[in-house]
Amino acid sequence: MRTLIGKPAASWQTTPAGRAHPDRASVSRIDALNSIHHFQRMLGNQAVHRLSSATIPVDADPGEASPASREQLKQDLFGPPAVRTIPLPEAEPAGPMTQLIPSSDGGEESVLEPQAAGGGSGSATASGPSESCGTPRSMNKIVSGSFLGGLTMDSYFPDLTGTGSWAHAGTGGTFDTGSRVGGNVQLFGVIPSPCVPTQFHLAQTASITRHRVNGVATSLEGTTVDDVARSGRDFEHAPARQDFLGGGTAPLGYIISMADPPSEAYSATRHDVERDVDFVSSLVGPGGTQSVTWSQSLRVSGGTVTGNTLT
Amino acid sequence: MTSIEAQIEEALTEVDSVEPGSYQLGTPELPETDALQNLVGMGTAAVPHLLARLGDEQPSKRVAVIVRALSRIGYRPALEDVTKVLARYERRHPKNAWDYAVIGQCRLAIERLRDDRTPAG
Repeated sequence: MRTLIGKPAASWQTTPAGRAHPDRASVSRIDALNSIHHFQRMLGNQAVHRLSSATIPVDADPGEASPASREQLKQDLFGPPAVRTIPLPEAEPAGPMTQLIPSSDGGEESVLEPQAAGGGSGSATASGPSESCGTPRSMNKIVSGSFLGGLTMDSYFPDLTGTGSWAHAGTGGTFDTGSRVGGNVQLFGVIPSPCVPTQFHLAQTASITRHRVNGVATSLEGTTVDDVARSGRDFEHAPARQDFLGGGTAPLGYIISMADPPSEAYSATRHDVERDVDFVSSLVGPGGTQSVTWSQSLRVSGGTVTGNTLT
Repeated sequence: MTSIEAQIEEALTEVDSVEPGSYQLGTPELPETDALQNLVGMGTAAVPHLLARLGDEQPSKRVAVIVRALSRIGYRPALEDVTKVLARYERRHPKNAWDYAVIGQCRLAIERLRDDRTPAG
């Protein structure tokens, strides 16, 4: 039996890049460019490049940011409204954002939920402008719905294709193969597309809060391990690392991704399994890190799967 | 075959039949078996015999267990051999899941043995 509990509503979640904190003298100018910076965060350097040829005088006085010029700016960035319609907030919210973005299922809109405060390890401490090449723009997870970039678990782990190491290879979420219970997760970080991708690397730690087999705690319980080192796989190159350009169903920018199908085997001899693990997956840049947290909880009792969650 | 060699062979034979339970990032986690505990329990006396079994002819699962045992025994002179095993497995193509387990165990062992205070040589 397979039990699914508490699947998240969002297709993917992200940690937003840290914001620059302008000095007092530049506050008024930043206010004037508020919407431009908002677009920059949403669209990345493609938007910056388009801004450079935009006809809007971006150094105008804050009071001169008229609705007409704002509309012109939208069109410079997105083209005619009939071609692409993305709701643009009039002002950047001061707190954690909920933004409307193109979704992975094509054309519809999904809610982009920033990681809760403290969830992104080191993400809030990165200094400098959010669009520098020092710090990734965001780190995200897909625990339900289609993977981005047309990728599947087979793309990341070709040596495991056909070995029963997962189910529904192209989508996130829990699985139960009848002898293996676990879940598929795609993790991806976004950097501005002009940055050098090789300056960024993926990392992941796993904190195993509970790991018991047939009622006996294993040596893993209570430990935090470097998953990447322990796996023996090379997450700086394909296939374990898959890079692709964003856009379409993916966020704009350059995307660096990995995937993980953590699982437990169960059988007549391995009939009771308890496993709770908290993961921190990160994209590490030369000047800062963006992280996303996710968790897995598995229960097998009497040879039957009684719990399987991925959040 | 000496007594310790026979014990090592018996432990490794047991390893052959054990299936891994946990998988992380596509790599099997080495199970905590009595066989592994027995190898570690033999201490430094087992090291030369374990090192002799790190060759290409051994199944990767055995090599992964041997490397973990060497790491836990904590005998720093094993560092050079483990480093060679790492290089050999990194060159392998294609690799299977147990090859990756060997690489992972080598990385962890190298880190641990470098920190070990056992005198070299």
